[in-house]
Amino acid sequence: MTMLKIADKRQFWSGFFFFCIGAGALVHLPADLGTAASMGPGYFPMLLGICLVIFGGGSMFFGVRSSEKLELGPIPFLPLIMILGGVVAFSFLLRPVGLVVALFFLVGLSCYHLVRTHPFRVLLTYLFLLALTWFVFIYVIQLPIELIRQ
Amino acid sequence: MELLQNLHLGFSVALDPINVLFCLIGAAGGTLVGILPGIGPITAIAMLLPLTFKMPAIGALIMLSGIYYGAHHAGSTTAIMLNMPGEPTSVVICLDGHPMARAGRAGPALCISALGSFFAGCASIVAIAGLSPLLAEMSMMFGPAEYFSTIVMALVTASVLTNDKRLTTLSMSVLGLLLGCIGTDLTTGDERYTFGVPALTDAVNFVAIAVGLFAFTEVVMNVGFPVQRALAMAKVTGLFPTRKDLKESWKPVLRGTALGGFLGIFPGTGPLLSSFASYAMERQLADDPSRFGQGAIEGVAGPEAANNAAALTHFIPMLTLGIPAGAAMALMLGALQIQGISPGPQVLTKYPDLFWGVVASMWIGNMMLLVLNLPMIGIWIRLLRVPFQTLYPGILAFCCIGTYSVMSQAFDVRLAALFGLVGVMFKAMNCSPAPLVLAVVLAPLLEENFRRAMIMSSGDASVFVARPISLCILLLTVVLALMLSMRRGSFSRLVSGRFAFILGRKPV
Repeated sequence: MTMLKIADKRQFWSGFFFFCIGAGALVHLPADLGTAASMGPGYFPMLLGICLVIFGGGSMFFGVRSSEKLELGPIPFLPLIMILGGVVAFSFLLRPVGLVVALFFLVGLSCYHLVRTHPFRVLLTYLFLLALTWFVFIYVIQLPIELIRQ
Repeated sequence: MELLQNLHLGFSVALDPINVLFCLIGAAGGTLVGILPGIGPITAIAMLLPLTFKMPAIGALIMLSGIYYGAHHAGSTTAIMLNMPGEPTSVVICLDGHPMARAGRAGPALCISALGSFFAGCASIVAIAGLSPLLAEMSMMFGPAEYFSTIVMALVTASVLTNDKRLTTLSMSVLGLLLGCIGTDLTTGDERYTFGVPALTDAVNFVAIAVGLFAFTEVVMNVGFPVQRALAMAKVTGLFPTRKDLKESWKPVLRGTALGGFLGIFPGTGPLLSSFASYAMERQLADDPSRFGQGAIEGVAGPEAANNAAALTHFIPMLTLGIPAGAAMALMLGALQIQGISPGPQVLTKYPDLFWGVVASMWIGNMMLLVLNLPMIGIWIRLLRVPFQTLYPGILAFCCIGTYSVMSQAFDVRLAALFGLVGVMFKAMNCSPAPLVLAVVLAPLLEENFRRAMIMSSGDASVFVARPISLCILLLTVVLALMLSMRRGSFSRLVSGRFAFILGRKPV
C-alpha cells in the first residue's frame, strides 16, 4: 500500500475539521431527541451533526481526489500566540484588577516585537489608549468597567 | 396618502436633533473606522457596537445603520484607492475603480460612487415607503414552512458568492447553525452544548464570534504578513467628473438603482448579489465591453448604486422577517435584539417610529456621507496612509472592551480569542467566515420554524414542498444557486485575484 497522497490539503483539512466538529456534536448530543413531530432539544443538532459529518467526509474525499494541488496557507505562529495571549490576559485581568493593568498586558503582549526596540512608543500607545478608552467607555457611555479595582 | 404620512413620521423622528447627532456620529465613525487599514465593515461595526448599548432603541439603530453605510462607503473608497475591498460587495468596485485610480482618475471615481450611492439611496427610500406596508402584509402570510424555506434560501445563496468550494461554504453554514444551538433550547428549556460554562447558558455571544473571526484574525494576519500598502496607493488629482463621465454614468446609476432595489427585497441575498448582477449587466449593455476592467466608469457607477439601493431596500426583509444579508447586517440585527426588539412583521405596526425613523435617517445619513466624503476626501486619504502597526493595539483594545461589555462576561473575550485562532486556521484552509456568522444569527429562527412546521404537519417533511409559497422559495433557491454556480466560472476568473486577497491573503 502506498501512502495516501493528499492533493488539495486545504479542502482535506477543512473537511477533517468539519467532520470532527460534527462527530463531536453527535457524541455530546442532548439526551432527549424526541420525534420529528415533536422535537426534543437534540433533534435539530442531530440533523446538523449528520450534515456536518457528511459534508466534512465529502470534503476529505474530494480533497484527496482533487485535480489541483493546494498547500495549506501560512500561519503566523508568533503573532498568533502573542496577540491572542494578550487578549486572554486582558480577559482574566479586567474584572479582578481593572482596566489599567489589563490594558497594559494587552498592549505589551500584542506589541511584543516593539517592546525591546521601541519601548517608549509602546508606552505612549498604552497611555494614549488608556486615556481614549477611559474617555469613551467609562466617562462618556459609562460602561461598568473600573480603571483600578477598588 | 399613507406613504406621505409615513415619510412625515420618519423625518420628524430622524430630524430630532439628538437623532441627527447619532446619525452623524455613526456615519462619521463608520467612515473613519472603515477607512483605516485592516478594518472591514464587520470589524468596524463590532468595534463601535458598545457605543450604542446605553442608547434608546431608535437612536441605537440610527447610529448602527450610520456605521453600516459609513463603513460600507469607506469600503468602496479603499477598493478604489488601494484595490482592497472591505466586504465581498465592494469586490466589484475594485474591478474598474482601481484602474481608474491608477490612471489618475481616482477623484471622479470616488465622486461618481458617492453621487451614485446618494441617488440610489433617495430612490430606494421612496420605494421602501411605498412597498413595505405591502410586504409586511405579505410576510403575515408566512407560516413556519415559508419562514424555514426563506432562511434556507438566505443561507444557501449568501454563501454561493464566496469563491470557496461549495462543500466548504455549506459546511461553514452548518457549523454556524450548530454554534447557534449552543445555550438554552428556547422550546424545552434544556441546556445544549454548554459544557457547564455559565456564560454559555443563555446563548453563544455572536459579537465574540464575529470579533474573533474577523477582527482578531485580520490583526494577526496583518502583523504576521505585513502588506505593502503605500506602493498600491494612487494619487488623487481633481475631484470632479467630466461631462463625459456624467453622461456615461447616469444610465448605469438608474439601472443599478432599479436592479438593486428589486434584488434587495429578497431575504438574505440582495446586496451581495446586486453589485455583481449590475456589473454583469453594464458589461452586457456596453458598446465596447473590452473597456471593462480597464477603468470604465459604468463599472463603478452601476454596481455602487445597485449596492446601496439593495442595502436600503434590504431593511424591509431584515426588519419584518428578521433575516439579514451578510455578516455585517447580521451583527446589526443582533444589536437590535440586545436592545430588546425582536424583528418581525410587528415591527412596522408596533414600532412605526423606529422603522420610519431609521428609513428617513438613512437618507439624511447618505447626504451626510456626501458632505463628509467629497470635500474631506483628502483627510480620508491621509488616514489610509496610517501604518497598521500603530493602529492595531487600538483595534484590539476596542474589540476586547466591546466584546466584554455586551454581556459583561470576561468569558466572551476568551471565546473571541478562541475564534481568532479558528479564524487563522480558516485562512490557512481558505474558508471564508461570513456564512458562518450569518448562520449563527439565523440558527434560532431556523430551528424554531422548522420545529413548528413539523409539528403542524405531524412530522411529515414534505410540508416544505407541499405549500405553494414555500415550494416557490425553494425552487427559486435552486435556480439562483445553479445560475450563480454557472456564472461563477466567469466571475471567479475575473475577480479571483481580489477574492484571494479577502480569503487567502495573497497580495493582489
